[in-house]
Amino acid sequence: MIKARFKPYLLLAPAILLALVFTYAPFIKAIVSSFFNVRLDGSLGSFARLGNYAGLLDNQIFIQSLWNTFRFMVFFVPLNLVLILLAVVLTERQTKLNSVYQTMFMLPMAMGMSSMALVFKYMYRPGIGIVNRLIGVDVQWTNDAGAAMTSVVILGIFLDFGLDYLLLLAAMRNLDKAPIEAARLDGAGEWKVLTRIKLPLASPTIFFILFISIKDALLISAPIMVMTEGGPFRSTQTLVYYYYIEAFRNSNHGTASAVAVLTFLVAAIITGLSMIVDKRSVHYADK
Amino acid sequence: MRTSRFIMAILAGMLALIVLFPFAYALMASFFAPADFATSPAPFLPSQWRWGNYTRVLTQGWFPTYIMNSLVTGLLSTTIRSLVAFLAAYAFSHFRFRFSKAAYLAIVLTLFIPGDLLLSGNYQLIQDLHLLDSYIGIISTSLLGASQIIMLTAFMRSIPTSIHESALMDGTGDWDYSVHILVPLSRAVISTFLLQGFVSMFNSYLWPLIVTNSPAKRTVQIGITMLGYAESLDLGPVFAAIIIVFIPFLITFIAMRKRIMEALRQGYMNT
Repeated sequence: MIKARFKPYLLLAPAILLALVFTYAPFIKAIVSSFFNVRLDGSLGSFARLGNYAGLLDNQIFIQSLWNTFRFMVFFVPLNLVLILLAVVLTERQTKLNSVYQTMFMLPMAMGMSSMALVFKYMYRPGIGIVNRLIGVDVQWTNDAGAAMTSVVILGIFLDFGLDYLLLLAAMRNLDKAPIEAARLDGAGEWKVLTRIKLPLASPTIFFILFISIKDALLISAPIMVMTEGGPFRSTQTLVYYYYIEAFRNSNHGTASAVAVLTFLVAAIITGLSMIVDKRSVHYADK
Repeated sequence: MRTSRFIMAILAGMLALIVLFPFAYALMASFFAPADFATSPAPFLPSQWRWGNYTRVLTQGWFPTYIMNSLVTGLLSTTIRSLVAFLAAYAFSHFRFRFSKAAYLAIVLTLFIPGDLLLSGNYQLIQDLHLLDSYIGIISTSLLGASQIIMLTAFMRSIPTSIHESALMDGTGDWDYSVHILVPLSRAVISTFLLQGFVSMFNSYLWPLIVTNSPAKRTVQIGITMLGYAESLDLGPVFAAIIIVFIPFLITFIAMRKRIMEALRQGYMNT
């Protein structure tokens, strides 16, 4: 460590400048705008107090977007976690066959979000889509309000599957070997070793994945834009999608800012929790 | 024991089939004729192998431009982002100065603010600077990698200070020390950042969508949804485009599988 007068400030200048210009400035602007009536060009009009927030409570479209986001979260988060746990448990032993499976399971990481959303959009087509043919049904996947949310959840799981799978697999690979060996010596079966020792040891990573998926669910918008455009009848329009529409299509900057601020609050809480958990997982890896 | 392992392998195989299906279908559909998309029941194999879909998407329309734009913005953003992170981490790990803690906190706290909710403020700024439809506009919001700075700072702090001190005694300047000692030592970390940075820029959707209006500056992620074949059910070229973009990433990911796993283990990919 050296004491220096100017050098560290110079070195830090680009990072700090970027943080100020592209994160803090628009962040503060969003908070301020949320208390004002904002003109179409984005300049501040009269002070609105809590008017923008109060307006949201009567706003059917906002309530529906909030409800949709919640519905997505409730289905996506547990299903995502269960499938990843299943995939890791099935393939974590180091065998030749499993290394082939491992490569297959990380494939979804290599396809871009909008490519994946497009593939699903066309696979889901009602009547002539391949999904309906495979499972022998005729569901109006993207035309029916109930089915549309299911199709979005499935897409969401595919999008996160590769990275989450690798995260957990890497964690399982690097568990402290001593307790595992000890349990085996004591004659514990593989199932017991897995459920009583390996999974608890990997729990920081499992919690980390859980928080990340909650945050992803809170913020999901782009895949939905590509696949369903929020439809049918706004049944898949989420919070961030609603923010996007208010800000960029309706130029309703006051309302958009209020939505953004509320979402910030929830996201900050989730990120904070995930960081606490992540610290613990780093701690585990050090041991 | 034997049977339970057998059952696990079968179950994993079934799961793998489901995971692979969209990729297999996309590959098959990239050879479909327009009629194949309208046939009921939906076919899995193409009626004939139409390589023409690939030549069409590669020679007509904007797709090659989109690829070019994605490559340029991806490389630019990754390079600048890694450089900014390197400089900042160097300052945090090698110097003692006033406001060091405050500056570090300011960087860490950006992680709490999701960029997707800053779109409208950032858009107005880019518009005021007349940077819509420009590469600088597209990459502007991705240049600060806070998690990269955190990881790199932690890594540089783990390097024994004696190395830096003896370099200083030999009269080695910051530049030589960075290039000949620090960069080689952090090679594994930095190469993971480069891959991660490129993938995240390449995959970003919302921001490039709103700051580009002209197709000449669109990136692949946006452009691929606007190729203009969908109206006529002539989707073969769209799927061909999807496969063309997918293949290089597939190869990179398989080749770097071990390194990605290692990086994940050390937590470098947590965003």
